[in-house]
Order: sequence, then C-alpha cells, then structure tokens
Amino acid sequence: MFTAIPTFFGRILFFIYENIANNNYGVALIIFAITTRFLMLPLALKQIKSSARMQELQPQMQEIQKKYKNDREKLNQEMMKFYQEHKYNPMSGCLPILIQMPIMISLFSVIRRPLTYMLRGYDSETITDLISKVPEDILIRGYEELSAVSFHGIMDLSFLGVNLGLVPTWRPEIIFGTDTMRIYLPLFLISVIAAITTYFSSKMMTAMRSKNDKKDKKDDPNAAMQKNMMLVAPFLTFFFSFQFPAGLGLYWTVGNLFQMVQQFLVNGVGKKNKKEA
Amino acid sequence: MELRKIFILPIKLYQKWISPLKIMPCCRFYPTCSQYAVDSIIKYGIFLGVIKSVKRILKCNPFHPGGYDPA
Repeated sequence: MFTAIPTFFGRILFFIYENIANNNYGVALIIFAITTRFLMLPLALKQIKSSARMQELQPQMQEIQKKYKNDREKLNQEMMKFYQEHKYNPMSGCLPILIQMPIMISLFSVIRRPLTYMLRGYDSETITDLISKVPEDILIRGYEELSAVSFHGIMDLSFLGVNLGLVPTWRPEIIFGTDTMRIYLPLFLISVIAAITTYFSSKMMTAMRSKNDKKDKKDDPNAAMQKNMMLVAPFLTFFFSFQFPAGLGLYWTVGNLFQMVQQFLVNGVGKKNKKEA
Repeated sequence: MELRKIFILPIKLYQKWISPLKIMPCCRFYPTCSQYAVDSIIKYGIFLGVIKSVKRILKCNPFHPGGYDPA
C-alpha cells in the first residue's frame, strides 16, 4: 500500500519524462503538476459556479453577521444553516485539498528514490550495489539513490542547470561559497520563488473574497487574521523547502502558478456577473 | 483514553502547523472536518470516530452542500 501510490506516480512521471518531456526531469515535473491540477478542475469549476451566486445572497449574509457579531460560535452556526438553506457555500471543501497531500508525499518519495519508484528494471539488490559503489564523501544521507543516480550518470536530474535532486540550503556560506555557489544559489532561488508564488496566489484568493464581502474592514477581526495567515503560508513554504529536494519546490511553484491563472479567470467571471446584475 | 490522545495529537498539530499552509479556511462544514474528527474520536472512540471522520472528509467537496454538522 505504501509503495503502491509512489510507484503509481513514479511510473506516470517516468512516462512523461520519456515520451513527452524529452528526457528533461524538470519539464516532466512541470507537466506532472499541471496534469494533476487539470484533473481536479471539475471540482474547481463546480465551486466557481456556486461563487457566482454570492452577489445576490450578500445582503442577507451581512444581516446575519451583524446580528451575531459578538458570538462567533453562534455566528458560524447560523451562517452554515444559511448556506444549507440556499444551497450555497463559499468554501471549496477539505477533500480537494486533502487529495493533494498523498500526491505531495508520494512525489517526495519518487524524487528521493528514483531507482525504486521511477526507473524500470532496478531491483533492490542492484540498487544496494549501485549505492555501495558511490564514494563516501559524495553520498548524501537519506538521499542515497539520488547520489547513485548522479554518480553513475543514470539519469539527468538537472533543469535549467539546477540539480532538482538536491536539497536547498539557507546557509549563506554555502549559497555564496566559491565552489558551491554555482549549485546552491539557483536552488535557493527555487525556495524563494516557491515562497513568493505562494504569497501571490494567497493574495489573489483573499482579494477576491474580501471584494465580495464588502463589509467594513475595521470591524472585521477576520481581515486582520487573514492578513497574518497570508504571511504564514509563504513563510512555511520557505521553511519546508529546505527540508526537501528542489523538485518538490518546483512542483509547488507550478501548482501556485496554476492556481493564480485559475483565480485570475474566476475573478474575470465574477466581474462579468456583477455587470449583468 | 490515552490512545485517543495519540490519535488526536496529530490532528491538533495539523490544525496548528499544516492547516495555515492552505492560506484560507476551506471547510464547508461547521465544526470543521479536523475539529469534527477530534470531537468524534472523543465521543465515539477511535474506531468509529475515525470512520465517521473519513466519511465527513469525503463529503466535504463542492458536490455536497455542507453546513452545520456537529459530531
């Protein structure tokens, strides 16, 4: 069970790598990320249709918010009841987001262990043998298969000159070190870009919602909280990116960009509806 | 009771550290799916609590209206 899912995604990634991405690992990851997002598009579209009704329900929602201003528990309950009655819900749900978690975790395994999960024809004996031939000083602990892949030249993990199998670091002496800068500065940039795109995609999502909410921001404790949340997500992304190979950061970045385009199109639809109303 | 706490701890950790990564609250229900999981594990025990939580998460998508649904 725990190897089935990574194997499944690994084979898909390998198929893309070999047949579509012209043996470019980075391009394969990008196509993989876009494909998974496209597969979840039906859920997103359903949600967009529902969002279009927000305008007409706005006045009633504001009334409820005013009425239970001082009782958050009651406010949440009443809001949910209201949504139920009108068959409308501004949230997209936990499932669409939770589906992404096994994909992320499996992808981490796939990137970390390409010989086991991605490439064909390597049994565990061969893998152990290949790893044992890698000199001790270039063997990276926890990423032995990646070291073996690079050492034996089995697969090229580079994308635009960046080795996506390496874990970025935040330590300035490595990022700007004379020998290591060429490798680790681009890796660091992937972390930065992942964090920046997280920030902007979250900003676009909140911007859309607060525009629809049209309530006085000074009175709204949510507005301040959301502002904080918007900084938490990019910060956590930045922090996490130093724990995993850069390929995962690339996947995350592409997901963010997809989200931004999707949100841009949704905002456009929202404006159109406003004009018609 | 101790075993229940072991199941609840990762959910609490999720609420504190993973959930903010989602940028915006996303749950279509009140209480949220994670809170529902905590409540139902306390109320029904681990086995039934987990099953109920999984059912709840599966429901939490744009094809279900959502709403007020306590454990």
